[in-house]
Amino acid sequence: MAKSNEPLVWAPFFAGAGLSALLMPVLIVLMLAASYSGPEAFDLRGLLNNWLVRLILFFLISLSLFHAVHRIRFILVDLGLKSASGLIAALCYGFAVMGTLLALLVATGVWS
Amino acid sequence: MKTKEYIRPIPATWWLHNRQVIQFMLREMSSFFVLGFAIFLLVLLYAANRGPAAFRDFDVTVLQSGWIKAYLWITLIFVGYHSITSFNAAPTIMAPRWGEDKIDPRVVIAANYGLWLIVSLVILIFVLPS
Amino acid sequence: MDHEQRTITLDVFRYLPEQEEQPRFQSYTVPYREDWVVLDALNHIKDQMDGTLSYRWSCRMGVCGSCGMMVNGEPKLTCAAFLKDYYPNTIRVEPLTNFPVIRDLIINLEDFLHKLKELKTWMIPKETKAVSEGEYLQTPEQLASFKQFSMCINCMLCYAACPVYGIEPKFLGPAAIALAQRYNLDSRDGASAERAEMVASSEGIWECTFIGECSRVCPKHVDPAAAIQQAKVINTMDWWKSVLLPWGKK
Repeated sequence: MAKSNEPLVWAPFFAGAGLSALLMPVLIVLMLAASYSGPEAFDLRGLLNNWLVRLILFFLISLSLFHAVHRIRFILVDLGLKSASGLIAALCYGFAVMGTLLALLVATGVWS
Repeated sequence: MKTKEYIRPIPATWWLHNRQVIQFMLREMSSFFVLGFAIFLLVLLYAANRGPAAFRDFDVTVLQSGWIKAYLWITLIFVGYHSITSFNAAPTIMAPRWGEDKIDPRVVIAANYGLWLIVSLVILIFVLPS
Repeated sequence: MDHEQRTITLDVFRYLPEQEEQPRFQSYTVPYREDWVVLDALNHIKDQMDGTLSYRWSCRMGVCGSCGMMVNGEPKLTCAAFLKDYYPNTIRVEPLTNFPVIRDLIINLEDFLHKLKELKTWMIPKETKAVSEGEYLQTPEQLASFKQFSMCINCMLCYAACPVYGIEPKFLGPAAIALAQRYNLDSRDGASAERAEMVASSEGIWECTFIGECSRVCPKHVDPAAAIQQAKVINTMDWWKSVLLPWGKK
């Protein structure tokens, strides 16, 4: 039995776990604040155009995607879809790669 | 003489068997909400690219809608659960030791929560004046 | 002193392959004693009531790992499951989950033994020393890095508790991997790289989804889940190092 190449996806999974655990809750609270107070309360758009914010959000989005799809892949396998495990893995990580590319395009302002 | 062995297959409902595995499944379900919020942030950045008028429109019609409010509250609960379970797992994954003594896992968990608090406060301080 | 002997009922899984195609449960009502464990009740059944009941046991004090069974659906050492924690309810006793049943409460544990061999769970010294050169020395810190994982008594409760092992029998499993780590982390051992072929395979640590049931049921607090997650971190770093710095020493 050869060594698996799982570490390729486990590293972003692990990084995504920490990053999403630390950053997402406060961001959700901020979004709730924005949702309740409306566009006059604070300049959400200005904030989102800050380069540092975009940099952090790019990494947060990308690594959170890798984190989530990795767990979803294993949930599906644990729940009985073991026979399709190769296909599920391809779909899951493919989705995360695509999401990362989109995040790159959006964060750099290329796609608008 | 070798007799026939009895095999007991594991049922598809194995994850409902006891409280701890149900909690495990809930913990794993929280990853769906992590996925959802990552996509939400992506959409948000996209909206910010489209000019001030379009963004204002997006803000008023989408961000302020009841659906989004409900979505954000549910997401907060599940992502919060993801954070808590991740911090609680930290000592198991890191196995911190001080020389030959094992560091109390509660100290590690407390350090994680501390970091979480600091990071959250820094972000709030950075954001709120604007 | 009891004027009226209290009793407790055990529903015991029976499987007699020479006589019956299917397993069944058999009810036994045994005397209830405050200090009795489930193993005492089973021994009473075998000695006084039904000599045909078969099961494994040995030390009756939680160090041999022989008497593992499912007690009300939970993997337990029957020598450590006190009747008073279940009284007055009926206690259901079954063979360990996820293993084939040979007869009654006896399971086929060949798979586990095979995995212990595959993972080379024994000392392979970094440097061989002649007896005249003295002992292999180790500091308390070096001992502390693996001691917890050495407490395993091979009772297999963790395999019974692990849903992943139930779904995928090829999974090397909690105890075997924890024992492999016990040697990998031992400063006197030199076979980490050799064991990594199996430990870091898709049927090794990467099959685990950190459910954590193994560590919860372990009677010796080995925490195999910790061994596996720590191995994931170590193997991930090794993998990325070999990819990003292929010229580095192996």
